[in-house]
Amino acid sequence: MKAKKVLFFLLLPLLCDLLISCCKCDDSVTKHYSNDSISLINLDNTGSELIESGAEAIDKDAYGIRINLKLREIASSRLSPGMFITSAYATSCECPPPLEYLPKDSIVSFQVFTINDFDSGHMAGADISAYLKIYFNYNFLPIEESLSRFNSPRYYEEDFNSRIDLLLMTAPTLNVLHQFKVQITLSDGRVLEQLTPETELI
Amino acid sequence: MMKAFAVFVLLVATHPLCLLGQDSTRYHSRWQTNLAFGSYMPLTTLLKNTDTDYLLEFDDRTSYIQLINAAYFFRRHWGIEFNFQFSSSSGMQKRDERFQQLMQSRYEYNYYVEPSFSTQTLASNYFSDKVERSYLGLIYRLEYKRFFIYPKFSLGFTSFKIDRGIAFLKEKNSNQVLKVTYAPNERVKDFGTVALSAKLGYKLSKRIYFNIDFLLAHFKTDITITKTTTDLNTEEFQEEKTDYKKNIFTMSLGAGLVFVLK
Repeated sequence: MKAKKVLFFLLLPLLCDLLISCCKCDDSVTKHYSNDSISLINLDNTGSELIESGAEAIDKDAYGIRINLKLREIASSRLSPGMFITSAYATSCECPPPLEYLPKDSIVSFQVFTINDFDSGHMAGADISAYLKIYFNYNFLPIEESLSRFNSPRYYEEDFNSRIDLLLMTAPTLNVLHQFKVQITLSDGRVLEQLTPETELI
Repeated sequence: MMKAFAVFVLLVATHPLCLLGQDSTRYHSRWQTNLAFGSYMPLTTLLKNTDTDYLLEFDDRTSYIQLINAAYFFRRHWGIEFNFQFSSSSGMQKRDERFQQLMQSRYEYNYYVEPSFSTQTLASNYFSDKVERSYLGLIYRLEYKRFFIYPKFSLGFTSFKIDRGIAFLKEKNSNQVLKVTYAPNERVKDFGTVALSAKLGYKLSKRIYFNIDFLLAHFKTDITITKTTTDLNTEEFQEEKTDYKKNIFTMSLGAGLVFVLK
């Protein structure tokens, strides 16, 4: 009886491998990406849709910042086949995606600073991240709650030019001319930062 | 010549009398089916001329087609009958369009409006939006030589769907967005229905009768639609409830053909 149990545990990895090998899956390719650079554009949300704006003045209640986050592919590897048995293509099961990009360096903080005095509580250089929300498909998300979304795996090469739209949900009460600095700190210590084009928020 | 004419008149005149006199067409059938169509007219109305009306797959005035019907007479005068009817109206087919128009007209001054229903029928036809009515009734059969009348007492269900409406309101010159949802307490409602009806008509032949249907029905609705307006930025919301709790009395008039099966 004891010998049967020992034999069962010895054969367990082989049985598991047999089950996995019965899946009809294409070889999965895993690659890695790095957050490379950012560029910023002012957004005008006065109309029905967000539009990129180079205007000198934008309505302060309808201002936003578009962050174009450029990713870079850095390495690739293939999923290892089974240890004992290669794929039998006998049936199908839940397969991994054929191509998966994993982040090499994750975003650990995402901050927006005002260059000029914004309101009585936020003078020049203050962090106004709480005044902005990430907007997509009628959803508003606080920036800090969205970090996991930025660090998620990507499955298409098109995802390498990520677009993040931030909307200013609290209008400034001081100054008309405004400029903002977006600062993204990565897990490898690098800091990606850029300034928005200067604009009047009226 | 005169004699031949007299024979001809006798034959022509007596043939219908013979037919009327014979009893072979009375109470001989056990199984019947009835294909019919007609209209439902409201005695009391459910719709309120408000925005939530467009979510109801219902109209007070509809046309119906009776596709499934079977009657079985277990006694000379008594029988039971099952009916299944679809009914619809042109107004019901335009609910989506009218809901969108209403939302636009109500909010377009301050907002860009994007309304939609949660369930849209891809293959739209006249009966894609429909009220279903099913009745099981006890018939009392009265038949004459050529005419018949079947009074009936029925119990059944009046069933229709209630859609979920959604509209996103993007404020003009602002980053603010509101979401307006209309959610019913239940998506499909079956209302117990009591009906009194009469089927009367003329026997075209031994197996085919022409009939007219007249029906009075009652059901009680119990619908609540909640309108929720949510500020998507702050997630603050306001709720407003619209009730459709009414006694609905309706009348229908239809015509069709009865086929005697056995």
